[in-house]
Amino acid sequence: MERRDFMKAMACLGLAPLAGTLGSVPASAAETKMWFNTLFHGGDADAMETIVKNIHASNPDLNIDLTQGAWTEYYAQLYNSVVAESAPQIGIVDDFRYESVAEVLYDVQDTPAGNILELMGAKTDDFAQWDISLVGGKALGIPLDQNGFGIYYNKDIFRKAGLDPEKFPQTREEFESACEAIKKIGKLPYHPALSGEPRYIRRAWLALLWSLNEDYIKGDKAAFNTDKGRQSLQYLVDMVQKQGWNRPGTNGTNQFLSGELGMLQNGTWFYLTVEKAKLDYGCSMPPKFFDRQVSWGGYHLIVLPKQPDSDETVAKLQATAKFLKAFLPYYSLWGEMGGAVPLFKAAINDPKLKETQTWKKTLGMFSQAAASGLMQAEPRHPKITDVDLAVEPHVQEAYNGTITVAEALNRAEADVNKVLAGA
Amino acid sequence: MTSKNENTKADTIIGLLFLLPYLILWLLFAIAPVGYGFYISLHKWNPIGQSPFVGFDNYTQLFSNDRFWNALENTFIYAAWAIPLILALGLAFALLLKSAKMSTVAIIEGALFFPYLLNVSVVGILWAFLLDPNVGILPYYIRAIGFSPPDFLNSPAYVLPTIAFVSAWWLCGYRMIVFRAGLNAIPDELYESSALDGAGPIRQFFSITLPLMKPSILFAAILTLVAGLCTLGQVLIMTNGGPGTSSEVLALFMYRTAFESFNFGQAAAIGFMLFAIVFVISIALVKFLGLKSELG
Repeated sequence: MERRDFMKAMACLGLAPLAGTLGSVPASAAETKMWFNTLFHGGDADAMETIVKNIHASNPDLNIDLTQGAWTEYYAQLYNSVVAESAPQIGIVDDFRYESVAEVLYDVQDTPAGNILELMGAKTDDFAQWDISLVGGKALGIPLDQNGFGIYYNKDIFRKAGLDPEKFPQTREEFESACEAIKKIGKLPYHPALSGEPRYIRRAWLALLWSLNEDYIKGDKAAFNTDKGRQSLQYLVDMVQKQGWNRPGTNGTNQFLSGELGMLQNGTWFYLTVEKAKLDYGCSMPPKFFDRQVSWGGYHLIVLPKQPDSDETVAKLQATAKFLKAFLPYYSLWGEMGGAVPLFKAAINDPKLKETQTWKKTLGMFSQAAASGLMQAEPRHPKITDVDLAVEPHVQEAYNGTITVAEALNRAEADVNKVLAGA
Repeated sequence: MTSKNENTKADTIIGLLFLLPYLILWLLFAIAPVGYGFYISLHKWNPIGQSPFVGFDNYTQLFSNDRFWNALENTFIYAAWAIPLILALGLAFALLLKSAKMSTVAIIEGALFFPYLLNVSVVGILWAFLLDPNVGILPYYIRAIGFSPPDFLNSPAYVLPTIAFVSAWWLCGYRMIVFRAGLNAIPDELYESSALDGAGPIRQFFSITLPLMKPSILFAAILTLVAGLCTLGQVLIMTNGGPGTSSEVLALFMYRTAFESFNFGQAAAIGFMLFAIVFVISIALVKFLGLKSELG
């Protein structure tokens, strides 16, 4: 048995139950049936489902099988499905995982069906920040949105604590005194890391690191184990170990939704979830903790995973182009329902979008932050995923108080340098 | 004499023919993947491109990786908690149900077996919620009786025993059924005659029950050994290896190496070592317990 055939068989066996839990895999025989697999699983998943339903309603010939799955298994599934030659026709990729899966993605301007962008009737200029789609000069995706973290705050708790619910703290001093005021009324003041998972703790630290104008990695070396790196991580650790603004191991999202938490760092995608919770809330960029105001950010890109060479693939890619053309007018709705900043210029400038509740509550603020460069993405590097995985356990241990900040950064630096050296 | 030899030879051939369908499937789905996994582990594996042969580089790199040794240690710590817990609870429930004189034994047995029917994702999510420091029921009741609840899933000291306990809750029902079958196969006469000879319940347990249950114990022990050393789902869902790497077991490390770092060659090397560990311990168990019960 050929190695590739064996991998295909094994990957199919492995993927079958996963596909069963997420939805049905498209029948390969259907002429224009397409599989669209996303990593969305919160409010943004509802948004994408609505958009796909709308597109299908106006284009009945486009049979789109939408499956949306858990974030952590998504990239394994994407990679394996290409190996197994049963990949979805359309996928979504985060910018920080983009380069790690680059070899399984089509150059959207050079597919077996031709230039998908041209088939969509679109130009690169139609998209804001088109350059984020380029890897080695090739466009391996189409920019969908810019997402990132802001601080959601409970206005009722602000009122009870004697704070102005319409004026979120803009400086570190104001933020700290707001936390103390909230603590006094018996509520939890702040959770910096969403559900408390290690990747969110790392992202919270990265924003503080960037606020001190320090780098994460430089070339093929870790750059964070400096005075500024230690200062930023110590500040994060002190939030839970010294100030008592929260406890390690807790889920900030649950705390916020149950009305027990004053301020929560969470993503653009939190909009629909928090709306459904019927809380009186506001949303702001984090204050200027150190030298500059910044939050962790990223991008979503629409990607076309590679397919086996066949006429069916060409037909499906043409259908994909038709679907994506029909998707363009829905970038606004994506912003409105998904909460992220759409990267299609016509959507950003859409006056109807600016009249929506989303714009007023969160999206207007996030759009402004994106335009001002306040949402910073992780550096692009083929091994950035491994770098993140190497850093996370140590940062989490420091956050939990089981090792010191210096120990954490020493260990993280050693592990990152090993990863970047290819060991 | 010749006729007897010919008969034996014919019996052997017929026996092998009966075994053949299973042997083919076993070779195809058990032996071939192990061999192929070992082959992959000798390459810098790229399923969609060139895969250069690297010999034992993947293994030597692992041996110099602290995270691998940490995962191996965590695997054994977890197994040391989970395996005895699962087997002891399964055996205890089986013995209690055998001696119970209630009409509701079947209902209790069903209730104890029920968790085994749940998917590991459900078990993980359910217990992560029950143990949540803010909204979990268990920490709530511990606080209600005046104690400070431990940080079950976020403390390096508690996390592996906690996950082992969850695994025991999930898996002991099936072991109970296996032990029940073993217990039911022991003739009552043995207990009656030993009682006449003056043997008490403890002597009966060690001299009759345990020796005659050896095949059931061996079967349950090997099942539990594999479940203990190859555990992934509970850890992935409840802690994702954290806090830090305190609950990162070998299977999770292998999963991350393969599907987050896409380093399939090294992941195959981890998988092959895990296989070797489970295989050696299983063979040792078979040697130690023996395949036959005292009944012959």
